[in-house]
Amino acid sequence: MRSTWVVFNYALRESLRRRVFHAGLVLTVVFLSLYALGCSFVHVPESPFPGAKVDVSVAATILGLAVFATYFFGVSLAIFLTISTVRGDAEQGVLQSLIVRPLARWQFLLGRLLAAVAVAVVYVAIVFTASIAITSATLDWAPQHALAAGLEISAAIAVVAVVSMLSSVYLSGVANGIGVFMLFGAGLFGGLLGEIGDALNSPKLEHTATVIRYLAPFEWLYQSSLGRLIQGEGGFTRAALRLGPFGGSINGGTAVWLWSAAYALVMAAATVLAFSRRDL
Amino acid sequence: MGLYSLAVVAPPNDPTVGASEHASAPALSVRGLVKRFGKTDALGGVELEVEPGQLVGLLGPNGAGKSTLTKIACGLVRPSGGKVEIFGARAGSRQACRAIGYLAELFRYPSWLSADEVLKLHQRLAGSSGGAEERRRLLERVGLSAAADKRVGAMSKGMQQRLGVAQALVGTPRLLLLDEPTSALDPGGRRDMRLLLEELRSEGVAVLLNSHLLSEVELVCDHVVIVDRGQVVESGPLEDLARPRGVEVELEQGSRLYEGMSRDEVPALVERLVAEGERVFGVSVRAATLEEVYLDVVTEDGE
Ligand SMILES: Nc1ncnc2c1ncn2[C@@H]1O[C@H](COP(=O)(O)OP(=O)(O)OP(=O)(O)O)[C@@H](O)[C@H]1O
Ligand SMILES: [Mg+2]
Repeated sequence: MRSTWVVFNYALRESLRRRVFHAGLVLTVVFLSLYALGCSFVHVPESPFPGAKVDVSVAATILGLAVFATYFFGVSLAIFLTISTVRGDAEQGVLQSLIVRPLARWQFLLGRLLAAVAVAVVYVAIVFTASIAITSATLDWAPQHALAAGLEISAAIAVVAVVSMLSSVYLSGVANGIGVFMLFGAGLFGGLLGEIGDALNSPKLEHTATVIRYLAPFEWLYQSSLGRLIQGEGGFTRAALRLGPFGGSINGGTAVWLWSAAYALVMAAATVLAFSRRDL
Repeated sequence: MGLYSLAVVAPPNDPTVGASEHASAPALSVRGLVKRFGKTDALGGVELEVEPGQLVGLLGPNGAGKSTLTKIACGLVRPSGGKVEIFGARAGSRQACRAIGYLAELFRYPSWLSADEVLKLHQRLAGSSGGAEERRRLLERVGLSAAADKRVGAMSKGMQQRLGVAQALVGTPRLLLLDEPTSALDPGGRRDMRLLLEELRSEGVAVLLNSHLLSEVELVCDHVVIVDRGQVVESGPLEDLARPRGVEVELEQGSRLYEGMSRDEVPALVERLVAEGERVFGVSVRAATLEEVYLDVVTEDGE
């Protein structure tokens, strides 16, 4: 475990010194400022129905957008931190001197994965908390299950990191980044299909969306995290709300967690196997 | 042309092998090693052995398979067939990795680390307890003492190569695998490297030196292996490879080479020349240089 820890520390320091990380921080500050500005401009109308809380739906919809942004930034970060893990770094000549040291290849992968996930999760925690704080301060509403929502976004990002690490065995930096982003986009597309299917009442589209959820469980986790935002709200609000912009909110329950865990484990095992057979 | 009257003497094998493994096992043993990359046969049944305290030069033209052999020995590349062992442990195993120091042909350290931090990272990975003292000593050994805090990104290629050598020495390895370690070094750096290698040999460290610089190999190695197209085409102690070429005599009209003549025939030759009225100014026994041996055994492209 000591070797994993050494690699973890090294990868952590590397991530924090990357330019992309600093650029990301600047962008995040810009995003949060714009989000705060936007929230302060929102006009919350009175509810036309006695007892129905329209203000909640406005606030939840806006926070849903912030969740999408958090998810997107977090996924981008996780991808950037993992795209070059194997082939990219081997082509640069950075990897070899580390791998010939007495540590197993899986320990190297685990150390790097944990570091990437740690950075991305801390990042998500900060941005998500800030978004909730801004929403609460400006629109006077906060989700009841924020922690569960945050955990699901974090898990979604961790799954993307594992996928990106697996494909890094085969693809070098840029190609891998493009590939994983396309997969991420495919997930979002699946969410959008589900939304359209729901609106048109098309079981075929909805079925396709479900298949995509299984193939790209990070999308499923994201949709489930949107569902958490309005979990516990009144029936009308919940029924009326389909948080977006791509995937709609759903209740993933424990199924999404079980499936995602199994998916990530299989991907991780495939990564270890592929890396152990790779000539560097 | 080199004079082999001053033949490099191979030191007796140093038996200071770690007590943990087979004390008699060679530092590196390669048996019937085969490596195919798709349709390319990079290595076709290579046999090679490096004993502790031996400095072996690995020579061969571009694409001969030298780097592939070295990478298999460090566990970076998986062999397609054959057996490679480091002090009796399978190449790539943890035990084997503990015994080696490696400097790759193409390498890079993260630009944001300082020289000292690179060594610290490798100390941790190698489980070395040498601490700051070991790092200071290694940087001094490769002439980088003044650059301990310099970032890799701000170093010249030669400085990075020196750092690479220091990195390979972290954790006092018993077998050093160096893939063209002097390609970016200045003449002073090459001399320092030579002295360092000699020092290591006297400490009982085994070295496999992969190089295109024949003069360098000639100066420090006691054993040479020449590979071509994945096959060992020549190997042996340097002085055995340096076959006698003949006797060169300096006469009034210039020097004359008596090909194939040996040292024993020199007195008779001189007598004969003097009797013939020639004035002899000097006599030397010539041996083929490593370069001549090399060019003899390595087939040129297309031949
Ligand atoms: N990863 C790889 N994939 C495919 N072929 C490879 C790979 N690595 C090496 N080869 C091939 O194996 C052969 C031996 O290559 P190697 O790098 O070992 O040569 P070398 O003796 O080190 O040459 P040089 O002196 O140019 O460094 C070459 O034909 C090369 O094209
Ligand atoms: Mg090479």
